[in-house]
Amino acid sequence: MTIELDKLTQDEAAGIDHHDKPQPGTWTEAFGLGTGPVSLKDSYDPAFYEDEKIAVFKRSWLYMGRVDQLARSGTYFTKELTFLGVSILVIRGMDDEVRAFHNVCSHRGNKLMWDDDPRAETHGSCRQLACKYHGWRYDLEGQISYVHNAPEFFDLQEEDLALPAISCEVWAGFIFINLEETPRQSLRDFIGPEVGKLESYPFHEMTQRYVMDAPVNSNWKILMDAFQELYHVPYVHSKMNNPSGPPTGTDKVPFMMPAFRVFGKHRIYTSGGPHANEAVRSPRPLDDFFGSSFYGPVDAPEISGIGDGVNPAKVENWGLDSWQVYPNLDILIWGHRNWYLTYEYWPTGPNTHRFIWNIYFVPPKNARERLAQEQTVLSVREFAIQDTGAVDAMQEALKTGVRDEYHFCDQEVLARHLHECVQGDVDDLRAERAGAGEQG
Amino acid sequence: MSANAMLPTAFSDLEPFAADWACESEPERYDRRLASSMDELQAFYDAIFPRAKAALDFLDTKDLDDLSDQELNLLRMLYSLSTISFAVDCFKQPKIPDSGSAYLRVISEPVP
Repeated sequence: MTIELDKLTQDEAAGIDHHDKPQPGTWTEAFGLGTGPVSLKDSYDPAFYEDEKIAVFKRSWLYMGRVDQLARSGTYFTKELTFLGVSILVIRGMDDEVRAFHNVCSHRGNKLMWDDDPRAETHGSCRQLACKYHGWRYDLEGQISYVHNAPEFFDLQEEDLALPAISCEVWAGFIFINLEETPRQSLRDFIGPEVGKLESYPFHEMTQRYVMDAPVNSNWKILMDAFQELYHVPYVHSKMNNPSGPPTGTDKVPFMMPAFRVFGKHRIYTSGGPHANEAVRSPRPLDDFFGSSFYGPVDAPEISGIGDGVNPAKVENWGLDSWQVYPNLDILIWGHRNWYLTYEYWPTGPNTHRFIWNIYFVPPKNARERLAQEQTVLSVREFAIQDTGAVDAMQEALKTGVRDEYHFCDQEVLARHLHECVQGDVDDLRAERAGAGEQG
Repeated sequence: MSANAMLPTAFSDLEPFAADWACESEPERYDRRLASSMDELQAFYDAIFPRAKAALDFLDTKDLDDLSDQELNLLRMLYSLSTISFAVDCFKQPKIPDSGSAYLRVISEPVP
């Protein structure tokens, strides 16, 4: 028995946006991915989780934050990667360079930079890094600068006392670290040329920032999947899509994606944003008053240009680029509305993760612009709670492990790609171990 | 007018709602929404929506970095209007349906 699209009425059929697909006829096959069922054991199995920490997170470049957070020499922030057992200190030196260190004092191992709660992240500005326990100090490049009561020590060598450095590189104003002794690729090589071209986008002009940071009851990949497909949108966001009319989903009209691309382990979708699915969406009563919506402020601010990296598929009605940078960073750029977001998904266990998002606007010039931005942020948050609620329920069922086969359609190609890349990294690690075992 | 008024004189009609809705931070606004009944949300919405354009026109003439306390409170009332609007316009209940234990608070926001 073939499952066919339920017969739609003429009006319903007219609501579907149609987009061409590449040869050989599906995105999935065009990207060299198999079309068979997907296990998803990678998203709840504790043994997989342990291997994933090493294979994915200890071997990839990891996003820490924006250079805008380090306004001048001496500004710093810490990032707690609790699941990997490390605390990262990111700091701008006297020479203006951005560096990263393990946040550990060389004396007896105290946590170096922290504020009130040693488990919480902190940020600030200083002339020297000072340890609260015995007063040791380091300069902004991580070299030891003061040891209290030094003559009491036995043969201290300065070079042994520098803070342990971590590979740290910046691309497009985004700061990344790599926990390998010697990273197997530079950041630029890891990013690749297509994603790399995004550095031409004026992220640095959008410094008005909102941050949300919350625990989510799903594996990190499961929420990332929700944000890389539109298949769920008519159902999960049924009322938000069409507040003045019948909820979407009941009409069975699917939301189709104009374009997907895969660039190595990274991937992107480009959608029509406010131009998409207009037949089944109505504005919200207050969108007009606020002058904005989920899609961003209607009166977009001036920016210096959009560069040559966005909309790589050259979609005509460009609305949104959502770039998924492996492993766990999304960069969303809203075309012509001139604002952007980042999403980070940090594992905290096989079935849970920490979700951090940042929303960036051009600083508002007046109350009207300020309010439009607020409305956009709050609109996005309503959609996001619907998604986190959905994946919370999904994880509950997924982790029972009662099925070994799940089914991804062509519109879910990016989710399939993510799982395949993660599985590939873990397979490589396991193969290395097996190889070492044979020689061992 | 009372010297302790939270809002500018021109908007004294909204004063009864100021204590509840001129919250300083986004998490407070969202918690207030969740703690309110639909009747309370509707009452605030019905009072402020007809005055929202006038409030915004008034605030638009001010320097964002130099608002008086009363002007800031008025602006925050408009943030609260946005916060509750989803409940009133879309969901017809304070909490997002099917959201279970999911929550996303804004932990860092621009001021004002």
